[in-house]
Amino acid sequence: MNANTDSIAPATTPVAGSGFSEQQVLERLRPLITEVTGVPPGHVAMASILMADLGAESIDLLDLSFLVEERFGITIEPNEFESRARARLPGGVFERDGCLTDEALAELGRLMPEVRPDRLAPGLRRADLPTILTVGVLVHLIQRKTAENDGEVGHA
Amino acid sequence: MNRVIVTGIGVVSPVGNGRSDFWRGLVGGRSGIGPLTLFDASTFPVRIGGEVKGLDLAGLAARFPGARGERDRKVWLGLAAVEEALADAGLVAGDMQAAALHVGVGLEVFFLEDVARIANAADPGRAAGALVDGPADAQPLQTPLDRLGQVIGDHYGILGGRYTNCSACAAGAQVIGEAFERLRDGEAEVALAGAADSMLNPLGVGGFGLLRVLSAENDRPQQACRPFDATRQGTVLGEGAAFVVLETLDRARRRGARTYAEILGYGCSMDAFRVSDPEPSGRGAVLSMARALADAGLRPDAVDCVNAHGTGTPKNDVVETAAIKEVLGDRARRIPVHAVKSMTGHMIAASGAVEAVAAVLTLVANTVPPTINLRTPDPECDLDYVADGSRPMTGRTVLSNSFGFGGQNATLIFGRYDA
Amino acid sequence: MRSVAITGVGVVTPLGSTPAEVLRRLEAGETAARRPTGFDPAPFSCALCAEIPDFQPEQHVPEPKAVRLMNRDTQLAVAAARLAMRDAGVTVGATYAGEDIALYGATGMAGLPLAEVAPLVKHAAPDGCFDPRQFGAVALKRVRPVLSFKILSNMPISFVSIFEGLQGPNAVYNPWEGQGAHAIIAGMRAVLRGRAACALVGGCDVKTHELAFVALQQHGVFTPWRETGSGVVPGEGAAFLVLEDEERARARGAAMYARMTGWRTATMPLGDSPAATYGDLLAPLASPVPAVVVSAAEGNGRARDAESQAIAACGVAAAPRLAPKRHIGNLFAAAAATQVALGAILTKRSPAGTRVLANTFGFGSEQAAFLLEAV
Repeated sequence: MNANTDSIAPATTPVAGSGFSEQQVLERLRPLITEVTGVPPGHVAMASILMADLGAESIDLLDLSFLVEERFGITIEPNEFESRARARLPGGVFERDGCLTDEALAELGRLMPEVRPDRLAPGLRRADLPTILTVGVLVHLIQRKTAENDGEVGHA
Repeated sequence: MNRVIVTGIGVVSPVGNGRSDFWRGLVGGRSGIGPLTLFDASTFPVRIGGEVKGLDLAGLAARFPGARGERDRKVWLGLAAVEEALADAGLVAGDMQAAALHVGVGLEVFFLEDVARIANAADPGRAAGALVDGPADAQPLQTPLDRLGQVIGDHYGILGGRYTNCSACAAGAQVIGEAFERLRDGEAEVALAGAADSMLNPLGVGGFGLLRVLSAENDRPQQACRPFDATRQGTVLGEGAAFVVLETLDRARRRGARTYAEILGYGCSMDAFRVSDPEPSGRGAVLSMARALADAGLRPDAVDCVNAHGTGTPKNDVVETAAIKEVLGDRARRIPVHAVKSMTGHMIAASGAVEAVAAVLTLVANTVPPTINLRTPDPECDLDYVADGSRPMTGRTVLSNSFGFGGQNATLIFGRYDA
Repeated sequence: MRSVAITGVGVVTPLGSTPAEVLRRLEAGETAARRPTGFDPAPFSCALCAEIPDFQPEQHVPEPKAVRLMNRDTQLAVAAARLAMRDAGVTVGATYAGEDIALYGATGMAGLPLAEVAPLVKHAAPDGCFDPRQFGAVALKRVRPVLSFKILSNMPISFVSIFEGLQGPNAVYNPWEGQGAHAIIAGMRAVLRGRAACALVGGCDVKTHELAFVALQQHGVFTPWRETGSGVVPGEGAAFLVLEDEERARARGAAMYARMTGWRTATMPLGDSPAATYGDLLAPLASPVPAVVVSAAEGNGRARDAESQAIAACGVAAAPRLAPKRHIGNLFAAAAATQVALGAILTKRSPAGTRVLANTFGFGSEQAAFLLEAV
């Protein structure tokens, strides 16, 4: 694998407004997940948890985020879901004594419906958030962001 | 087997330069973290760091002509610390011929300015040629990691072996440990051991920042490094250097040297787990501490203070806490456990050596420095981290941890020496 | 009194991946020194390097997904370390616990091929001049995070510890031949003092790309080429040795290459004649005269003559000499382990008691030599 990012082909621009389907995203995402986890594409499913099921460690998630940005032409914030959850809790408290508050857990649940509810349980810490990420969460994130991009680009 | 004594100390750090200023800052809970000024970091995600302030570079260049023009800042930090340590020990060049020199360093800096000239040129080959054909006194593209050791060694005529250790965050402790072993085993009577590092350049701050282990709380730099605090967001990069002079007890007594403290034991280990995640049970840390204790012939209840690695990353602090409890058992809850990095930031290779100096001064001054910025206790970090300010410590031993990126771990145990 | 035996050897070099193959090709007069394949050496005083053809990291790295985190130095180290452990027949957790195996390695001057560092500065020098503001605002966002692992000098040894499961005493030294020798000696000491039952020691280095040539030229390594028409041939490679307590090795029926009978180190004073340093260093190792000398000579006029003078002064001039560095290249941080590895294959083929001297002289102040004895 060439570390030089120029080797990653840019995403095909979909018809404006239609966005990518789940399948289309998954097809393009699978090789990237295989690259960072070593797991064969056939074993990568929407429900797969990146760390627990596919063996990703911290650097693999960072790398995947970078590759996804390059491949799909989007920007992923460092703490994408945390930031969005915080924004939806104006005046609310995100964490208390190092653990996520019930309101924070509820918001995250709304933002990441792909995650099984029992994984967003009291006692979960901020630092543990990467452990709950699934392929499905990433797919929907990519769909949303590419659609946003299309909206901005409009008639290009 | 010889006993090994620390007879000289030199240090430059974000908290203060020179052992007196450093110690005053440490016990006063002074944070050395602030906005980065060494380069224009205004567009970087992380814009804070622990900078060494007020270094007299011109004076150092005049006194160390062998390093003149050197662009690698850590070389100058190291020379400043060495100069102080040898003066403190009352040793001059003529005394050092048979000494061993152990130097720890971290990031090898290659100068992006030069890389840019080559990489962005229309004809990189020709640009490379232009670079090597430049003026004779032009500084090289990169400074080899043994540069500091060679400058020190040549300047002071040190011929008893020169070792350059690049074991990342464990280097500063490893060099002191290896020098200690050499003296204990009778291979030398005197050693100069220490480390220097400066990651505070675009490559260091940028590259390390990509790994998302740094706090990006640029608006409150002094509170950004919060070891053991429940709201900790990551570590903060710092720079610094510290060197100690070690002598066998016999030699120290013979010449009436000052005796700061004794080194009782050294242990090290490797995690052998994963590249970017520490092994969650802390087995590497446990092994490192257990080995140091065994090496010192000490039981857990003989440890009176822990100078923690305490980086302020979510993972390290909880794993280290668990490991300390596993090794020390009940003793862990009855002794102070403090994090110097709360004030200095993480000086990477230099940290192990700067913290060794802090451990020695803890014994000499009978005071344990605080862990600052600890306001919200973390239920998983429930030891006594000296969060309320420095306090008296009349114990006889300090255990100091340094756990490295990549899984190398080192632990030193210092003991009070009563002359 | 403990003694240390070499029970395993692993090498990945421009002239082969077993010590026997390297020796055969050296004895056949083969050389790996040729024009670099990745860049035009015209700007440099040295026009040759020694490259390893066809190295496939995926074949050697237990976890293929990790290859993208590893610079070439690391890939070579992981390959050579695995070869050494297999050669010794040491199974971690069975032969010895991971905790009881030490790891001491040496790595070289940091560096990556231009193509890999280019992303760091692309977009950071709009008018040709590096601008930190541009670097932070634009260039950093396009740098793949894995690059950080490729520029840290201890990572090759860290990866070795992870893939081999080694948790014992350790250190990483840097960057020249002498620091590689220190790694070997540190491993020996760990075994001799009972701090480890077994030690994996060695090094890795890659100096066959353009930026490495820039650094080497700037640090004067190529000066003899200009002045004498011959000099260092930078190479790439990795070499590791498995050292064990000789009694324990015997007890488990390990095949031993050699006993490490003696070694010497010296710090060369600035401006001193190398011949004097080498001579003082070799004298205690020279009697009885070794059967073969693995010489550290390369086409580097001053140092080559110095080694010959020292060898003559010690009365060892008549011993046959093998001079690998000219043909295999100078492997810098891996050179010392390579020299000892070649010495080890020579002792392995020799009757018990045969002594081989392996010199690991080189750049920097630290010089060393090892005396191996066939068992």
